[in-house]
Amino acid sequence: MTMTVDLSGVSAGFAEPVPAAQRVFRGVLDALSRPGTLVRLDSTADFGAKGAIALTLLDYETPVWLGENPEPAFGNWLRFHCGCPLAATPAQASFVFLDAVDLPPLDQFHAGDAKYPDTAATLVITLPALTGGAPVTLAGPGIQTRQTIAPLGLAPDFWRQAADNRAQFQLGLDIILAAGDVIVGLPRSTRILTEG
Amino acid sequence: MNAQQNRKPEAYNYAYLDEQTKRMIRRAILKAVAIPGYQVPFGSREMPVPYGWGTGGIQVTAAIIGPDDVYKCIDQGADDTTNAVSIRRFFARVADVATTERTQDATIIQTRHRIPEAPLTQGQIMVYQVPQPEPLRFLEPRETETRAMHAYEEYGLQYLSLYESVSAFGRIAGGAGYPVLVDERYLMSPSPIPKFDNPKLHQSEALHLFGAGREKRIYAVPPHTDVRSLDFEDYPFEVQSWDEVCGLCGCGTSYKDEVILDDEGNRMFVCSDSAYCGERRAAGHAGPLAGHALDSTPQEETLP
Repeated sequence: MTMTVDLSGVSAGFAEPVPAAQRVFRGVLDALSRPGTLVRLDSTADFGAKGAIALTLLDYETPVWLGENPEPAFGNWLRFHCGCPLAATPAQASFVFLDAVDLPPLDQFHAGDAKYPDTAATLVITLPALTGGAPVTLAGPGIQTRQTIAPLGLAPDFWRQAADNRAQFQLGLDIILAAGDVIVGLPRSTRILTEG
Repeated sequence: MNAQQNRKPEAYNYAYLDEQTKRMIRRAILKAVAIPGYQVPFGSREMPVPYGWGTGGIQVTAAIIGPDDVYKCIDQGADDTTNAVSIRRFFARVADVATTERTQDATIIQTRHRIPEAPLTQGQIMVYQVPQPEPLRFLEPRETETRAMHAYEEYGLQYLSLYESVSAFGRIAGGAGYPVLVDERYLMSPSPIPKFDNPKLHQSEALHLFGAGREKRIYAVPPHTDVRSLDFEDYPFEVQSWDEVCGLCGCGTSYKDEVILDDEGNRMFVCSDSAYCGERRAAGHAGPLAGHALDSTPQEETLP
């Protein structure tokens, strides 16, 4: 099967890929090291935080899942700039980019296996805002005592699923919530203390 | 291309590694942070130094470092040993970073054997050069077995080893690479830091990244993570202590190196953290063998 991709609509990636990827990576590292802390990514790439994270971390080794009916503009842009394969099923993806409204049950994604928990997927979930929602309290590695976040736009049972995600540690998905160019890390090690 | 051209940094990508390698290492680092204490396999590359000279730490540093960082590198606590000087010059050259010997000024501190005496702060990243990442390796040589032991939290063998140490020596012997449990889940080797430094890992303000180049593993301890040194109720974990103070700066609480002075058995003890010791002397502290106070602070080195 041949597939033609219209490249005329593909916009630019990082203007300076090497320093930009380094700055964005440090932002993502900071976010996952200190879960629940809002981190602004230093990037002017298209598609906000998810675009910056994709340009920084994706390549031919990382199958990506963009949902059942992906937005073609982002998919073409990813394939052109990152050369990443698009996964056929959610379970085959090592990276997942979805809007919160399109998020299927989390157990559809690969949570690693007992001996190689690092093979689990990383989810980048785009939200309308990272503040203004129902508050949720987090604890665990990277958090001194407690950390409260209130992201807006997650499905009502998301936090129960996130608590289940933590309960199966060392298995688990590592989640990055994104709005605009700001992200908040929710690695599998984070404990959900109050469900929103 | 002649040798002179070959030495130009423009011949290499920023921070030496190519971008695909950096992405692979960066993905491994993120998984390591998400699973504290678990050893993530990664595709360790050939580096311009042999295995055993810090290739794991160099690759981790190369994947995270940027031109805004301030880089410090120590070997056995000292900034001025051959390995530390070479690696510091390497990153000054290939990554265009400022270097320092002051722990407080550094954003990235690469180390082999020590955690600096000065308290680490939020935002700092410690990068460890790890020779053997697997704490169980000397008890169980098969990777397939140790991987299963980690997967199912089967750490009885490690406790048995500590018990044998108690029965043979009357205490838990072993001074470096003392095993720890990270967030009450993964058994981890803190690399060959002395057990004196183990308590500094517990609830640290800094992020700790461990790179083992030959063994191809990366692991991490995020800030504010529980790190417990294994022990028994009746044989609690304890760190080294010295009766002597530092001969140069007079510090009684730091980790000391023993230095033989002559062939008649005379010896001195001196802080292993050279930057810490130098700062104390510059501030006027003097030990019994100091002679005279230093009148200059450590000089910033210049590239050849």
